[in-house]
Order: sequence, then structure tokens, then C-alpha cells
Amino acid sequence: MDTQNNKETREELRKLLEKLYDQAAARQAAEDIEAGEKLLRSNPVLEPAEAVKWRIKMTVGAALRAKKLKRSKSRVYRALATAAVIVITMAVSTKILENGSTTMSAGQRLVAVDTGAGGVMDAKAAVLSDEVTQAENQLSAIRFGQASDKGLNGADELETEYITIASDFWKGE
Amino acid sequence: MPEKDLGQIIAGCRRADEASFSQLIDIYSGRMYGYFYRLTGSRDISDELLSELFVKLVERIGQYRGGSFNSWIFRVASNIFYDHLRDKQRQQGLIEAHVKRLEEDERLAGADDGGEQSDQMQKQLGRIDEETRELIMFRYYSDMSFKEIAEMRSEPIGTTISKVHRGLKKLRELME
Repeated sequence: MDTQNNKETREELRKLLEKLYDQAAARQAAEDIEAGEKLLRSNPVLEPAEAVKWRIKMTVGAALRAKKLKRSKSRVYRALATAAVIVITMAVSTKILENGSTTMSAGQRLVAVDTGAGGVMDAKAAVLSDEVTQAENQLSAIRFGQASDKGLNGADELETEYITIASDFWKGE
Repeated sequence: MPEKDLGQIIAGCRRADEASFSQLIDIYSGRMYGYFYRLTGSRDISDELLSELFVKLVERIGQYRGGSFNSWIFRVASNIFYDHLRDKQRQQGLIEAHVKRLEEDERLAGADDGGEQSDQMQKQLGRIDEETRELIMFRYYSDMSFKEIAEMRSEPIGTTISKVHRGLKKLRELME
């Protein structure tokens, strides 16, 4: 680290001036500059008052503490933001995994298989698919007690309906 | 002060160490105060600018990338002085500022400044134009070479030397 003063020596100054002026003018300019700077040295300015220096040190101390506090806050906010991103990512990933494994019903799978195999949706298969989905929904509702008015009989009826539809499907009707 | 010691103090300042800043203030406050006082002629304003300089260093010390620390700190001081001039002019308006400067020049050239350090040098400096005065003081207090100053001001070295030479010669004549 270069922390030294870089002012030219007398010799360097003279050489520098000789590049700009003729020898006599360079000598005169060097003497003028040296004399002027000597004059400044012989008229020093008073030092700042000790009270002023003390007040500046206090102000700087407060500024440093504020800077450190700001830096600490910034680190905490960054850590919190990172933690929040991780938590959200984990929550979203878990949700996606859960949904991905349970959302496709038997009816949808039937349509998916049909579309994948032939490329054209068969009208009968579509009707069957709707009926199967409807039956599945009703079964789910009964299972969770949402169709309690139907009771066990309702569940039996639906099961019978489900078997009939499945049978029709395999018969090709 | 040995180069190594100042280097350690600067490193401490970069770590926001209060004791290192205190040492830096002890080392530079005299020179910086002299620079500001010779340019403003006012103890109160010099105190304010000195304080502003060191507070600014708290924020800017991280921007120091090696090289001459004297050059760097005086550049910051010079910017603070010119900001002060601009603020002063903005506040007072150009005409009022001009009148004030004339009054100030008159005061520096002749009358007693009423409580502030009144020396012959300060009075005569008031007769030298602002730019040359700043250049002379910058060179004197920063100990920078003409080459560095010329580069900083983006002007040919001959122009810088010529201005300083003419200013110092005039000052010497005024002081005789």
C-alpha cells in the first residue's frame, strides 16, 4: 500500500520545469514555487480545537455504530429471506408431490388411456367415463358422510350401479 | 508516520474499527483543517467541513483501492469543499453570492475578521482567485506531485504548474 507523499524533490521539479521552459525560466519558476511554499510553511494555520476533534470522533463513532447496525440488520433480513424461500419451496414441492399421486380418478385414467391409444375419443368411452367419475364422487361423498341421508342403502345402490356400468363396458354396450 | 502503521490504521478503518478512525482523525485533522481554513477563511465552516469529511470517510473508506492515501483523502476533501461552494451558491443565489464574495474578499484583504484567526497570509489569499487558491492549497497540504494533480484535474501538467507558479508568485508579491 502506497501511503507516502509523492511531491517532487527539488531536482525532479527543476527537471520537470526544464521540459516546459528554457533553462533560465525553469530555474526562476522553481525558485518562485519553492519560495511560495516556504512562505506557506512559515505561516501555519492553527490546529483544530481539541473539543472539535472530540466532537468529530463522537460523530464518527455514532456513524460507525449505525453502519454496523445496518449491516447486521441487512444480514438478518437476507437470512430470513433465504429461510422463507426454502420453506415456501419445500411446501410447494410437498403439495405438488401429494397432488400428483392422488388427483387422477379412474374415469380420467380411462380417458387418458383411450386418448393415448387411439388418438380419438370414443363417444361410448366418454359416456362411461363420466358415469364412472360420477359414481366415484358419490361413493366418496358417502364415505365422508356428506350423503348421510342415503345411509348404507345409498352406498349399496351406488355399488350396484357401478358394477352394472362396468359390466356394460366389458360387454361393449 | 511509517507507511506500515498508516496501512494498518486504514485497514482498521475499513473494518469499521472506532479506535483506528480516532487515530486517522489525529493524523489528518491538522492538515485537513488547514486546507479548509485557507479556502474558507472561517473557523466555523472549517470545523463543519472537517466533520463532514470524516463522517463521509466512514461510508467511503471501502472505496479506497490502494495507491496514495494522501491523494485519495484530499480528493474527497476537495469534493466536499466544492459541494460546500455549490450549496452556498444555491442557497444564496448567484448575485447575492457574488456580493458576499466581494464583501468577503474585502474583509480578508483589509479589515479584521472579528474573532477568527486574522493573519496576513489569509488576507492576501483572499486576493487570489478561488480556483488558483484551491489549487495552491491542494498542492501544499496534500503533498501530491504536479503529475498527479494534473491527472486528477484532467489537464496538461504544464497548465497545472503554470497556475500554481503564477499563484505562488502573486502571493509572495502580496506578502512583501
